[in-house]
Amino acid sequence: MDSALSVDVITIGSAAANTIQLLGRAVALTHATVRPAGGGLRLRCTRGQRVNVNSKSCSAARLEVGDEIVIGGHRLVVLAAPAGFDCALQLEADPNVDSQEYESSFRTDLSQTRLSARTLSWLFLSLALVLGLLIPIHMVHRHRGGLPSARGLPDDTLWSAGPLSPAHEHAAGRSCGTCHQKFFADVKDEACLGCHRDTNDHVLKAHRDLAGIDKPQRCGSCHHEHLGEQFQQVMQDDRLCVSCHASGAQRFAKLLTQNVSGFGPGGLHPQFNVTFRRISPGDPDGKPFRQPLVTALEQSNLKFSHAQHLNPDKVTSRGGGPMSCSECHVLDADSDRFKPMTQEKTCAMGCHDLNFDVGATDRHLPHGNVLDAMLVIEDYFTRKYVDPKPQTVRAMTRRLPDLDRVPSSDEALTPCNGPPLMCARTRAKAEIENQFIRRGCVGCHVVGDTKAEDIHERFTIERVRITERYFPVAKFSHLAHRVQEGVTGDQACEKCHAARQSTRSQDLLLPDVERCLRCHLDSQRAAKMPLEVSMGPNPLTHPGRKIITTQCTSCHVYHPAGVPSPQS
Amino acid sequence: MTRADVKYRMAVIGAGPAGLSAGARAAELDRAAGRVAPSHIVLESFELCAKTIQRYQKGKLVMAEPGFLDLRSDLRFSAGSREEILGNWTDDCGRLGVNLSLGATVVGVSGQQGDFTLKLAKGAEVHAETIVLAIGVEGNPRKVGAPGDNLPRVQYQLDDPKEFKGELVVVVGAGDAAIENALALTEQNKVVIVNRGKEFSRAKQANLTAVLAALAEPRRRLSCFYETRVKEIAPREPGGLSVTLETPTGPQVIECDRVVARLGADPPRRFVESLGIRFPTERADAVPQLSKRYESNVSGIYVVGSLAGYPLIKQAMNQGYDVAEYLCGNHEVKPVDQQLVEWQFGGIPFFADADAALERFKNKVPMFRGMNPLAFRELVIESTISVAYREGQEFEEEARKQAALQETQVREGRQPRATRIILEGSVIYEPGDYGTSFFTIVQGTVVLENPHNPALSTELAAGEFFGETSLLSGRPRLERAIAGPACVLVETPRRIMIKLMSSNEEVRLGIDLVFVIRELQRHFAPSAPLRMLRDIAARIEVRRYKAGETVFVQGDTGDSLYVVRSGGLTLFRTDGATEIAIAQVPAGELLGELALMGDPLRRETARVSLASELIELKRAQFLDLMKLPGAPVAELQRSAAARAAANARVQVQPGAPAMMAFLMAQGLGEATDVLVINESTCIGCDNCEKACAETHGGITRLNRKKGGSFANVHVPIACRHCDQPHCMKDCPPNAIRRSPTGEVYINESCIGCGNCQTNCPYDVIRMVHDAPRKPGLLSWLLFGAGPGPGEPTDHDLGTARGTPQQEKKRAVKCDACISVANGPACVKACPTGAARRIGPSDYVNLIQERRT
Amino acid sequence: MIFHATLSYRQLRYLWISLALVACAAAVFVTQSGGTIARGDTWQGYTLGTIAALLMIWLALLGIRKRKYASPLGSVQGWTSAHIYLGLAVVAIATLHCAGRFHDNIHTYAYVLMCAVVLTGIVGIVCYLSIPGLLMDNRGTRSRADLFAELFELDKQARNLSHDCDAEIAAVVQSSIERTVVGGGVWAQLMGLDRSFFEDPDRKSARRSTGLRRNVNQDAVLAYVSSRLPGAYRQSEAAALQQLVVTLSRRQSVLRRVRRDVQLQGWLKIWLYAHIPLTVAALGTLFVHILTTFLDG
Repeated sequence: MDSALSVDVITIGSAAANTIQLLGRAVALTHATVRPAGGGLRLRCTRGQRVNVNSKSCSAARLEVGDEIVIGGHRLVVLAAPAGFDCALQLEADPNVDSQEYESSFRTDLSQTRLSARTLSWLFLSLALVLGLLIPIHMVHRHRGGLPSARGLPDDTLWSAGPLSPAHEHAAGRSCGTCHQKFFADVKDEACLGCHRDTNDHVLKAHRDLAGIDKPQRCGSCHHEHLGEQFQQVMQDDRLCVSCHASGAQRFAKLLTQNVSGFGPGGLHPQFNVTFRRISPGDPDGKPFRQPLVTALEQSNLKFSHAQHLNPDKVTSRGGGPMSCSECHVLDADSDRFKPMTQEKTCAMGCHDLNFDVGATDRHLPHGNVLDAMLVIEDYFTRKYVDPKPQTVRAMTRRLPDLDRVPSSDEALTPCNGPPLMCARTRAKAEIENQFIRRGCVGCHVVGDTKAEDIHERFTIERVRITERYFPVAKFSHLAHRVQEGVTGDQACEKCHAARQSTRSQDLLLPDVERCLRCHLDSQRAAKMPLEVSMGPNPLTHPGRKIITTQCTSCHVYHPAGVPSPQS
Repeated sequence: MTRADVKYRMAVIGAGPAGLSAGARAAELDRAAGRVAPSHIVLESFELCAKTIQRYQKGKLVMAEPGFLDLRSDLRFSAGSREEILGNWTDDCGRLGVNLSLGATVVGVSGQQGDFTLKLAKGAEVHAETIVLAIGVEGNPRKVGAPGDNLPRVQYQLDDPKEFKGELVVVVGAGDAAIENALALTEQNKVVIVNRGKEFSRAKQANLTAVLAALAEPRRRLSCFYETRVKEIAPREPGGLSVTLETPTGPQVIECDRVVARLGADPPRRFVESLGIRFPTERADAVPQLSKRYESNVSGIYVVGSLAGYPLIKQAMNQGYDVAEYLCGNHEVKPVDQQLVEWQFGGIPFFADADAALERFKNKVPMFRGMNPLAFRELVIESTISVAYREGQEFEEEARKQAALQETQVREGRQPRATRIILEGSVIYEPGDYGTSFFTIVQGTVVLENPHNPALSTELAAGEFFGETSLLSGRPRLERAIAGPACVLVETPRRIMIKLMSSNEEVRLGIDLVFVIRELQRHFAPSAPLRMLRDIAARIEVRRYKAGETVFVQGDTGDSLYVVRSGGLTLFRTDGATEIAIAQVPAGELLGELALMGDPLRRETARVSLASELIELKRAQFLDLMKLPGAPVAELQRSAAARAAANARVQVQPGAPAMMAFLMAQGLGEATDVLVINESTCIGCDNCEKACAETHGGITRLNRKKGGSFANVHVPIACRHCDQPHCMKDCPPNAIRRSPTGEVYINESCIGCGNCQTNCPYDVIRMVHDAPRKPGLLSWLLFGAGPGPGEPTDHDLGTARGTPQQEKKRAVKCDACISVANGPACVKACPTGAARRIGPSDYVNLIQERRT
Repeated sequence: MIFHATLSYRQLRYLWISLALVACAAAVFVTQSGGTIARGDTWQGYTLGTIAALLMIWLALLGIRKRKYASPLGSVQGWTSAHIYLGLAVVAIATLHCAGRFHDNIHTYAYVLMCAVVLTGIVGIVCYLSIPGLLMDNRGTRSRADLFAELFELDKQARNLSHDCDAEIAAVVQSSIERTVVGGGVWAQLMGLDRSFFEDPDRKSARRSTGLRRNVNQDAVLAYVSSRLPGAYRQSEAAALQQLVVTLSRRQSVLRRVRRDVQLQGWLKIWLYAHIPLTVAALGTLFVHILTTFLDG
């Protein structure tokens, strides 16, 4: 059938809107166009389409009369254009393409749309790699070159495994490079020590050869970061310590280390050692040295008996009644330890207020300087004898229960018939000797007597040294121990410190390992114990105690601030 | 050229492969003998030789099957394109000086051996001593029968409708061929159909609707003259024709460019019989009785080629050669397949030489005795000879010998042929095996063992045969066949047996009888000896029905039951006004047995869904059977009751009968393994189709989108692997096979003739070119290179028009992935489990599961 | 049972497997208590991470297996079933791997992407379960090809019939057929938009306009043609018009079905266009995640 068309371009394709509609999967919606060009015809395919012209595949061609175009099985032949027409085409449809192929005239499947899973996949993949890997790597290089990371672009913080601990966050912030200095390498200790300069390694450099350890543990092996608030100083796993210290005595013999295989009964943990300082004229504050707690004696140059002070028949507290520990030992809330004791604050307080003349109880000797004390005494008597007008004597109130009235100095004031100054000196001399030899200073202090002529030169007082920390490297909180087995106050203290029995100032009154083990066990043992352990046959009279799981690190510090050298 | 004054030694009628080959041989012998005048003549009615091959479409690849057969001819022939083969023959004929006279139609023959006179249509006469009939089976196209019907532009076939463009073509005839040509031509020509009758009565439905639509369609350039015949055809300048038509309204002249007359052909049989040659049966496919020298019952007339029952080109050429050789005095000529026969018999203990062995076989088996030597020879060549040896060294030796022989054959590039050596007591086939070959016992015994009850097994002696059940019904084997001591078997493929039965009445009757006996035994008298059944069987008749015929109607009283021997039926119930299908009865089942067990009324109407053969048992015969020892009455009643119940269930299920009807309409009645898709889960990803393509050389064998649907069940266009595959009916190279596990597949020996495609009622077979290679999966996955897995190549898209015509076109169909390692790819590839392959036993479930 | 659903494949085999896997993962996870804090780089973390990563890769391999049609490795249905359940399991395992630590970093992005993939997958499951039924209801027993074939025939009929009416009608029908649009772009397909037009001669006469009139669902053209019915006094023309109206309305109903079919098919597929690219992206970030983990030691 012939049909005349008056169009300026012939469109060929499977869509119904084409001038020539050809069905079949091989024909695109708009497959090709034919338009007259300079006498002849020009055929151009739409993008990506091809046709066979004279059985040669091409995407565009000049058509001559007689040319045969094959589009998906259909055949078009260019005929000589009859008069009045620009061109004539003869269509010969492919018989094997039936009307069921009509679907191909429409875009009825997503695969025919611009949507392409493959393209999207490539896009996403490249995005992931560029944003997640390449750009950050580039930024790392910028950082190493000292440049900041470009704004709005991801940098290596993208790789962060999680937020830093507040401290580090504050210190390092967003520059991963401060710690992660090389790719595919663990964080170097140097990176840590850069800031933590004064942190000693567990084994001091000096001791390494003694310990037979050439290189220290990595910081990272214990310290984990990127855990945010949950950041943990150490890996609290006893095994870390025990792995070495179980055979410490053999391994680190030179360091006099002892074997520790845990914290529990049966000598898992050795007895405590107390640290003292050996004083020599050379160095006044002395070199620290260690002693087993059991044999250790305090040498404070002080005369003191806990037993006496705690005995209400001998000493009572201000309000009467026995004294309590806390009257002298005042807990310092922020240091977990006790405020240092001083004569003024601790001993004076209406007891040892250093008055020397019963007649004048308001007179006190100054504390701390021998010469001052002597001069005060001399001054006093000089005045007394030069101006003998008697004055009222306040009865002295000393909290001594067996208050046998000591005869007043006035009564004791022996009449003197020499010049008053002379009498005064003699009297003063007597009083000074009295203070340093009989009662007074000598009551608490160790007094040295040089027998010198000049009284001022004669007496010295040994310097008092109360050891502030017997376990300088151990962690202990009295605060945390205020309650012991359900009791508080002095009872609680006495659970550990046997003060009532102590009559000498040499006694240390320190609890030993066994005492700790009553409540504290390492996780391994604690797991095996019932939570409440009865203290005796009768739970009513003997209330139970809690078992407290304890790690090595609860008492010991891993990084020593500097430990005493071994006793030789 | 023909001369009336000389008497040729041999006149060959028909210049097909056989005729030409005969002529060529004769010419060669003439040259050898130094004769000047040809002692032979080849007469061809058509204007060209090898008419049938001429009719092939341009560039069709012609195969050289059967592969095992050597070519023995003076003409060159090997697989190649139509053009080069025809070219070769014309050259060779020229070179050898074959005395060929074209356009010489023989209308009659008189005289007898030594002095025949052939009368030609043009009036001339030819004298010859002997006649070689090589006219094939195609016959000559009927002429228009009007003056000028031989003009050059009047043609009786249409090779390639694309040849002609913009012409006005007159198509004479109203048959299918005429309609198809006319429609093809309208694609680019103006066409006028000249129809004798009032309508297209002879056309098949599809063509009829197509042509009527085309005529109604104003744009289609097709018109038709009814009740019109051609009065005269005259040449017209320039190079056209003017056709004078006699229309009901008076004469009318059409100036056209050419005339295509498709008036069918006269089958050659009438002519052959006019020569006095007898055909054994009236069946259309019967072949004349021939001696082993191809001599017919009329002495002096020899028949070769497809008319003699040898459809393949190579066979025909060899026969032509042999006949010529024989007629020219060489009486010792042995057929070219002698060697093959020797190989086949090689392993037999008493083997002397081929001919003796053949004789011996022929005489040993009663069924073979009546056969003519030629047919028997072919039967043997196509068959496999198996010999059973006792376990031991002799067996070892023989086996080794035959194996060695086959190896050498393979090395020489031929198909291996040798005696099959089996062990005594080894199983020949198992129950359930699909196998349609037919076994004949030449010596020794074979035991047929009943799988359910080995006690009831029969022993067959020499001369008897077995395997006929599957042969005739296409059903899988029912029993286990075990080789007895020293037995010698001939295993014959179905194709050959069918051919034999159609040309040899007593063979057919013999096989039928045994079949009936065994069916009776199987169903009614498992323990009764065969001879008791024989006389009952003799009285029983086998009824044949065409598809659509009714066996009995609901409501009438029945006094007989049927055993479905082959084909299949559908049972209908009339429920009020509507008739609903409730069940299908496949081959091997009983039909209407209830009528003989109680209720005599037929409760269903039985209609044949595909051409069937039923064994009818009258009440009397049935009762006789029931009297026999061990008649399984209870068994029969139980199964009958069960079937009745099942039918009722289907009937009452709403929609179920409709579904059943649908399944039947889809041909599932004869299916054994069919692909069904559950549309309620099918996501249309076409993975099944892609999988099929990718596992079968890039060409899919199923079409998911097409095919019928009912409720949620979709039956795509894919092979059903029918009980009796239609496609296997007519395959010249016997390329379509059925594996023991039931898959019907096409092997590489396909010659692309397209018969199967036309025979398949479910058009699941496609003729295709090999698909081009595709890029690897990854290059597609990553970069979208080329068509992806299972995506159509430009080739499928029809853009492959540029592909060279030489490329072999072959038939492809679903082979149920017999070649693929793990099961059917379509099912394996379905992500949602919507695709399944099912067999008849699943239909009931399928119906129960359906979603409406 | 002929057809087996993918979800309940082999009595939910892969559901149980996945649950077992998750259980094991949880068991591994809880071992990291006491001294150590649960996080990605404990040995448990690495174990879980490796499992999850391998799972992700395996899940992605479905795309390959699906196309390795000759593969001897089980059936695609089995793989799909496993894909679904293990795909859900991988979320749990990955969560255990990162111990629920989510921050603004690549690692979390990888996790988020993975979840997005799983999410789209779930959408897909829903689509696959619901849409085929709808498709069936819409198409009835006909295939889409059938519908289009019918449409094609109706087009032809309409054209032929219109030739028997006056030229204007013919032009109108012709244009309405030419400008009938089914499907189109992504949006049009998914929304079932109808961008059909036809050329209305009445409008053409008024210049300025191209004469195009929206013809959604072919109503306009039907109205136009039927409006000519009263005016048709010639018997033959009236008959032809009647016929034409019938044909056009049949065409309309077919078009409706076709459009619905296209729309449903679109929804059946669209999720894949998110699922696949996201999968690739997830794998990409997974790679970066793993690399950077070792990048920082």
